[in-house]
Amino acid sequence: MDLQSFKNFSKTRKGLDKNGNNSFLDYKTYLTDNNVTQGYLNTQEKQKIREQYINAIQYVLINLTSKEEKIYFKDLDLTNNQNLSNVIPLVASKLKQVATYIASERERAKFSVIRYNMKGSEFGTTIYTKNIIYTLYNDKDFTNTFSSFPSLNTINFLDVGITYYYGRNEDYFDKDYNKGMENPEIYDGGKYEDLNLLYFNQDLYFPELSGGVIAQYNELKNNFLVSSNDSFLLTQSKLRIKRKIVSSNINDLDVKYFLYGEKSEENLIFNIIKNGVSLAQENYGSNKFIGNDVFYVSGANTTTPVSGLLIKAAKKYSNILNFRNFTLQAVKNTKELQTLQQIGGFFLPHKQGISISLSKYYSYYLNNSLSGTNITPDPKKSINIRGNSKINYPYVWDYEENPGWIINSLAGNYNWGKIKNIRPYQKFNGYHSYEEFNYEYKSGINKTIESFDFFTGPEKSVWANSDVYLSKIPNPVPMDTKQDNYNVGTEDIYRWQGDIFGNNYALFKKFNNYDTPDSFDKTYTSNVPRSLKDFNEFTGVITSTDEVVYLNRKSSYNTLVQTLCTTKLINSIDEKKYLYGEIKLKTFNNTAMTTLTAAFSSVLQKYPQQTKEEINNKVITFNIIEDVIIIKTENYKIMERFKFDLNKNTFEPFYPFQTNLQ
Amino acid sequence: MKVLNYFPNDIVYNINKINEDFDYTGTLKSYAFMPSLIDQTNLFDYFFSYIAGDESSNSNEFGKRVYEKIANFTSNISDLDTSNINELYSIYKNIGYQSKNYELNFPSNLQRLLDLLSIKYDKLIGMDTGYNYNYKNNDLINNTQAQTNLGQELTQDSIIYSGQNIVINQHFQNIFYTITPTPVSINNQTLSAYADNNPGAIDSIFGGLSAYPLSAYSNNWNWGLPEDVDWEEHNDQQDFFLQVPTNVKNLNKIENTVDWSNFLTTLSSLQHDPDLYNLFNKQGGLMEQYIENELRKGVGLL
Repeated sequence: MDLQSFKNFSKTRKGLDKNGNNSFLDYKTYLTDNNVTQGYLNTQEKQKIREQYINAIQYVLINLTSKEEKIYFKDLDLTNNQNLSNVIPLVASKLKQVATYIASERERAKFSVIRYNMKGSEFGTTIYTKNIIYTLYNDKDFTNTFSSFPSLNTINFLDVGITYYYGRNEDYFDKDYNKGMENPEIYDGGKYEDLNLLYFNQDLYFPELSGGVIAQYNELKNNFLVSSNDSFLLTQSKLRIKRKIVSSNINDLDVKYFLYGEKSEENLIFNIIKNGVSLAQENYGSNKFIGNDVFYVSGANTTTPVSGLLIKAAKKYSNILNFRNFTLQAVKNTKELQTLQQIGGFFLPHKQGISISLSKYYSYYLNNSLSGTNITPDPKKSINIRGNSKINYPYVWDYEENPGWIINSLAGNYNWGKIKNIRPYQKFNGYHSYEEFNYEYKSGINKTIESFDFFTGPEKSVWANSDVYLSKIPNPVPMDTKQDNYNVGTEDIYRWQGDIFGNNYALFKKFNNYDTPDSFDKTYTSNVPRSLKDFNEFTGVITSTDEVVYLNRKSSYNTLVQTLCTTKLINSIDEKKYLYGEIKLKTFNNTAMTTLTAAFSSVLQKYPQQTKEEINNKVITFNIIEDVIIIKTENYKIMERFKFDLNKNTFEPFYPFQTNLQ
Repeated sequence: MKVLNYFPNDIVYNINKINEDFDYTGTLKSYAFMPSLIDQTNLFDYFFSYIAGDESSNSNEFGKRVYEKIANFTSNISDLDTSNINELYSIYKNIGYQSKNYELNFPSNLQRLLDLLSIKYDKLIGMDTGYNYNYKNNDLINNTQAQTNLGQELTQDSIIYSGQNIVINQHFQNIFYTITPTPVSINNQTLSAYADNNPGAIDSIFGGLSAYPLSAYSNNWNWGLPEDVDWEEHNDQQDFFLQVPTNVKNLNKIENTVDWSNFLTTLSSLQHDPDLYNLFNKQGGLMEQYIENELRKGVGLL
């Protein structure tokens, strides 16, 4: 039955208001009555959804069921509701299993990255090897063949040791199995003795893995265990599988290393040289990664050293950076590469570097102190290569360099030892600027002392003529007057006061034992000039009891001298209080300092001479209260009120009479 | 004989995802300010709720589905724990993980259910909090929701048991810290007197006391207290309490995907049931019931 739309439905109803109130509710009831429950859909749409669900159920029945279940459900009619009702619980349980599986996979995926990282690591390799060994126990072929293999029951502890095929002190470029020959001690444990290059089984060597281990189960089975030199050690309940890379017995090698499948020394492909290249090199490609021909040198310390070509480089120019290691393709390390902009100047990165020095003419000869067999790159092209390595490669060659191609010889007179000005070569003479080197700056304001100027032409240095344009200091410091005005004496300020007008008064007393040169008590005159260093020795003026001596050097002949012993140091408060001093003052608008006697001459005029003298140089202390000055001298105490004329800078008495306390 | 099968239209214990509590009609209503709009009962209460549903409608309704897709975007797309199945396989591709392909393409309602159920049980249901160290309630938190783990206050004569956490409240700066008492060796008079009277408290393995009075405290217990606790004065300086474990039945599960605060999540009444895992996962359990119910609705059997 087709359902009516809401619009049609409301048309057929009578008695509704024009807003259609309650018609929604009625329509909803109408739909419910007509059994439309599934999202209020019409029958046609409902049928579509039913088909989708049936498809989903079918998918589950086909793909997620067991073989027996598939047979059972093959011809099931899913349009039948009874069948559907029977099948649905099974489908639900299958989908539940899918959901549970996915939930568990979420956890596993979290650790997948860690598992990837374990590949090639020592830890990962250990676990991998253990897995292989445990798998071997389940392999009946294996256990039957190797009956001496200890049974699992006797093993308490399985220990897999990983031995690196290169020293851990070596860098990426050092993955060179030759090092095993020269320095077997750099291997962990040093178990491998007498490696023979020609018998070296390169397939078992995995330089690309950091753990450097085993590739596959088959290889382990075939190559790991068949050699007669491999052994199983059962010690202290531990299983150790010891494996030697090299066997001295040719028969231990795989058939693939021999021509025609016959195991004999003549057929060993390492020994067959074709056109100067070993067949093994061609087959195993060790000559493809080296930019130099490699030679061996033996018996350098004997009279008859032996040498010969070991490996002929196949692709020199594609491996131009790889001078030394022929097992590994050298990759240009761009990590430390600096761009031209970063370096600046005219230093081109490809022309410099501390590890490569260019020499045009050199001669070389064998280093006599060497022993054993050594491997060296072609000395005609590169000598004494260390490479990016922590291993101390022995220097096979001594060499001398003739630098005449770049440095001027003695025949060049004044130029000898200097670098020739040949454009094509980078010469490494340091870059420096004219300004930095000579401290002459060709920009900015020039000084009268400089002999150059901005101008050009015959009169460019006209300003540099000091006789025409005299240099004159415009405002010299008035040393003479300042010396008098400032307090540069040796006395100390005992008391400091200000008055109501802003003038400053200070009572100076001498507590220290310093003195001005004017009052130095000794004069030394010599007819021979003396340095200050010799003074003590020759004059005898200064004795060892003198702590410090003050010298006023008039000239090399004439010196004024005072020692510390001559004046007294005043330390105690009591002594300081009763020491006589002198009052000096500065008016508020004048920096010059005058004595109180001079400034107050009109104020103190009325006092008798004896009092004035005491005020002059026998003051014990003084005080000023607003505009009244109180002076205590040896015998008197004077109180005097005064006026200060701001315009004339003079002091006047306030009262014409005198106050005299005694 | 005909067997009568009865399948209820709705599952008794229903679950809803977080953010599936969106009230589409209510939100639209809150946007309307004009009285002429707000008063349109027909428009909001019948028309809009008819189209997109309201707070109490099914999670599959238009309004809720759209809102959930937006609000849970990150967790649905890029969280390995909670992402939808199809997005999960996309993550697998990203990290290079290989898994059996169940990248299914089912009807939307069934797919929603499988997305939800494929979340790991712990992540879906959540876990009980193991946090037992709340000794001070935050004033901002509703007191009915919060509970402290402070138990009975201990006195000088209280007996403490090794392994039973006690809380020390240092009055200076009001610091709380938790101590787990260990068996102690009988090295002072109080302890030896207690051991004589209570031979049952002696730990047979350790040789010390596994229960002892608090007043026997000595400095080598490493409790961080002052060297000699003056038991006369100790109330001025610190208080001792028993630690009470958090009562998880009063709290919702944490780290969950199911929204326990949604009133449509009727499984809430069982969330602390110890048998819930079994009830959920067993054959014919809740997981299967959800799927089965959805399938029956889909094919029109309900």
